[in-house]
Amino acid sequence: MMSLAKRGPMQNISRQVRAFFAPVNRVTNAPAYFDPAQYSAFDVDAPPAPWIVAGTVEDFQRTSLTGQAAIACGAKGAVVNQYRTELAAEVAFNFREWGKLQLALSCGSQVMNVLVELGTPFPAPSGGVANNPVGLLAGSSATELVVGIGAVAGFAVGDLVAVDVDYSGATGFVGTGIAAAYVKDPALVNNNPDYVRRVTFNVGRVRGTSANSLLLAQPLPGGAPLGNAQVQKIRAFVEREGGSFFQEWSALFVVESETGAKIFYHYPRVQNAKNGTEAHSRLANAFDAWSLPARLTALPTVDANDQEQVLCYRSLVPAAGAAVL
Amino acid sequence: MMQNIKDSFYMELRSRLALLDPLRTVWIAGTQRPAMVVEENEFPDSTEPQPDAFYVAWQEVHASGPEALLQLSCEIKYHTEGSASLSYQDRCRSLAQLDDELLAICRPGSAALQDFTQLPVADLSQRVFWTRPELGAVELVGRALSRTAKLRVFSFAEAA
Repeated sequence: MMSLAKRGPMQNISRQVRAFFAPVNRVTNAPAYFDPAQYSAFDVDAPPAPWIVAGTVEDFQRTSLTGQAAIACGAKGAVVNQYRTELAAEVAFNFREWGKLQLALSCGSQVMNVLVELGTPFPAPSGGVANNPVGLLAGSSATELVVGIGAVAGFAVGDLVAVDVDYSGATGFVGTGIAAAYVKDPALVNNNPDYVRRVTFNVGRVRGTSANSLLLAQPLPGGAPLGNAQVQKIRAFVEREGGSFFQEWSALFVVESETGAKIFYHYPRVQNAKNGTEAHSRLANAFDAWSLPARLTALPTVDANDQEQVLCYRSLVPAAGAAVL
Repeated sequence: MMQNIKDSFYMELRSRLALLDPLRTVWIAGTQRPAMVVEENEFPDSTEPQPDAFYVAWQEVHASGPEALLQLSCEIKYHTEGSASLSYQDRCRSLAQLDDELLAICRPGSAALQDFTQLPVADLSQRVFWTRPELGAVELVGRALSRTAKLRVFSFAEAA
């Protein structure tokens, strides 16, 4: 009879750690939870919503900062029990891939979309007066932006675009689907209608056009644009040392063992702990391969099964045929 | 167990090749099959390796750890002459296509460990996995370009 309690497949032999992030609803403080019962077969190449691929990460390192203290009694002060204090944890790693999401998690603050400018305004490090936006028409989705026959010609394959509503003068979180920044005072953002598009995560690259729409290479991370959204071209992403906003995301790190097991590290809520310094390694003794460091602080959530405060979940889906203990 | 590892690796690559490039086939002993051949499985007096086909040769074996993680070194050799209709000037492109196909069929780098001595084939509830192929230097033999790729194949020796 075939053994279903093998010890070899209990070993974790893996090639890489893959990172995925999902937005936390900042208004309701609701994280995205990873449920191993539903996603034990998690496909790292086609993750289920709302998880966004952030690529392979290197030097993955979890650090428990939770303290432990002892209760001692008796003449010899013997330890009779222990308790935990200062619940805290960090996770650090280096992104190999650079993109808007990776920059956001590395810097922890707003990542600005540098909008294509109107003429040549006075230089501004995060972008100056922008070109006029183009309004979206009915029928737009996360992968297709209907702009009308006349406007399509203003875009070309390969263009980067930001898609979101005009800033309306309200205070609070802004950005469709993903909180990209927090406006404390409309005057601080100059009441600029382009401000939401300067920070939104709803960005994409034009992979093609139809008679009246732009087709995107990847779906907009924040989902389908709202009815009154507009689109503007962007040139670059810029993050700043010194921003006051804190990004907050749900994080999932997946390790696929070659033996068939899967290990999931799930942090329901993480914020940036500290800006890092770019790491680099030599490539073919001719290039520096730069990676983008991230150091994240875990924030607690309450597990509904027993009301415990939790920072991180580590789940093991054992390999088929592996012993369980 | 050793033979199951070899067979599982070979059958997986052979199946992937048949899917990726159904036209890449060889005729051996009157039978047409995907152009993935294990040298030690063929008749001892087999003819010379055919062009535009992958030939697997098993090398040394190491075992490590209490669960005996077996590591089998493997070479995959292939050569091409290009096509007569193009006066063999396309041999470099032909070799590049072989390179691409080898790299493609080696990913993902794992497969189920199976026992092919039974019918139906028995799933051994274990995995076989391997490193990415390292492509060696191109050698010019006559008008043929040849290459040897090396990789290592792993699985646990634990009894099924």
